Amino acid sequence: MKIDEDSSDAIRELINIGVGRAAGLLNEMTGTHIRLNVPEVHFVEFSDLLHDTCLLESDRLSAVTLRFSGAFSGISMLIFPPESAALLITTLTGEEIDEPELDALRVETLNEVGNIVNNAVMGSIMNVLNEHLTYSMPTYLEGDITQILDTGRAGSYQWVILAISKFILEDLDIIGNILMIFEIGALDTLLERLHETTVNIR
Amino acid sequence: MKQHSTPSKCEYFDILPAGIICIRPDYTVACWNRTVAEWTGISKKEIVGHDLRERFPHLKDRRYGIRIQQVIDGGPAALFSTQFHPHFIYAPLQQGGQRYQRTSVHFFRENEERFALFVIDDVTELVSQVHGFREMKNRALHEVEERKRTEDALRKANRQLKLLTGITRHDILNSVAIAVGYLDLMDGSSESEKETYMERIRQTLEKIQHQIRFTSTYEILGTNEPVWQRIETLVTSPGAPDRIRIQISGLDVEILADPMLGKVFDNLLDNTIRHGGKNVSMVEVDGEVLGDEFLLTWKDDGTGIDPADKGRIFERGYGKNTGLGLFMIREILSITGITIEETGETGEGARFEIHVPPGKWRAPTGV
Repeated sequence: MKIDEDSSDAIRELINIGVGRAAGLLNEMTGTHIRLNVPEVHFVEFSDLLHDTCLLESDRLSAVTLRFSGAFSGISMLIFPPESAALLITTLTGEEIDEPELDALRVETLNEVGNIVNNAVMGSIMNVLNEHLTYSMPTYLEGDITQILDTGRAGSYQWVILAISKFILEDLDIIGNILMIFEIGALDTLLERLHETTVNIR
Repeated sequence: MKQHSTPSKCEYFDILPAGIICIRPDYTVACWNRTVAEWTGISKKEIVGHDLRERFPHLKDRRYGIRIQQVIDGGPAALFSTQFHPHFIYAPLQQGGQRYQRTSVHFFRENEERFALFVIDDVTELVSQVHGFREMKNRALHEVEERKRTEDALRKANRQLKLLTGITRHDILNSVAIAVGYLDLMDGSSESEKETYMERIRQTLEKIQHQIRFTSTYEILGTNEPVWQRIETLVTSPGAPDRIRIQISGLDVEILADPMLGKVFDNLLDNTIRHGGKNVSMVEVDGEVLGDEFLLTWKDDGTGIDPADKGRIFERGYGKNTGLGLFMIREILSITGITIEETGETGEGARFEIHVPPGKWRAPTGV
């Protein structure tokens, strides 16, 4: 599948709008000044995801996932190395800890942050397409990328939008990744809908 | 109060141990289960058909409104964590305080009508356990850190004791060899030479006596764990002659050091009295925080240190008296990584700077 520059730009723009909204909400909720941006968006085939993306090489990752199904199906997830996730959470909650780690309460908080980001990104795309999808319950997962992606189901996945996200707060730059993993044919449907919508707007 | 049909699932919610609230897009309450009624003290009858925000006005806030609206519009579930939203709705506990809650909001549709379903879990027990665990972990980490510090200090003290013992043994053996040498020379020497040799032997024996006394000073060095000691108390302990006034400032701190730390200040005072000259009248002891470290300055108005001596005053045996005082000071301080240097100007008094590294000083406890 060839992804043209317009489609790629549109997706990047929608993700940026979503994370911008998420940052606004997090600012209001926590009273911290957090900025969130997505400097890079890549389209990779699912089969290449594990080889090509050194960002996901860690053997322990923390992910907040959201499955969606309907006109197009897949999983959206926000994924961090656990140390970065713990640092992000303790900074957002104002806890002063030398070596932060994720315990049950902080995992729950990370789940909320991931929920805000995933929902904002999905919301931003769905608003443009005026589509309704069915969503599963947001879930927190920990492990290496193959455990998180449940590679037993890998056969049904085809394309991945990998958005490298930067959480900037206080003097910290924390890198996380937004992954949108699409089942077979789902990205094509999304891009078609997006194309139709932009044509209609013009 | 608005009249609506009740969602068919409402009666099932009563058997759940979680708090369940179901609202319509205009926030009117459609279901209010038994658990949430018990927690809040608000009965079903009182709230069903009324706007949820009348009872819980904080839900009008954008922080909640935007996310709940996205759910009502058919979006994904919204999660409200305990750390960011500890008390999603007011639910007091019998023993005082409020229930900690974890809340999720879900979309559902029935007979073409849209609802947002709030599932509220009481996580008070979990929160208390996690807080207890965090405290325990912090305490354990702190204890491990203290233990590590103590072990390092004891290891260092042990090394120093060995070194000092070795040096002293070497010095005593040298002195004994000198005395034996003079005894040998006495054979066949004249009466006046014998007298000179006897005097030399006497001086050597006095030196040995001094060296043996010195061992009693340092034998307790490092034998006890370093302890936190209040500097102000150590510096102002009595001992200064009337002619010398001690002025202190900024010493309201504790330093982790060998229990012999008091000797440091005794020896500094001794140094001022012995070597400051007859006009020395004042000692200023100041403390200040410099970045991460604590700087303690001991300054007298005596004659100061001769430039030729500056580099060697902390060496063992160097000096006008026993040559052991400043050496001991350096050894005692170094057990916990504290350093000392002399930075005064000759003729303007001696000035000793004691640098206490981070982790080895703190504000006094119990103040």
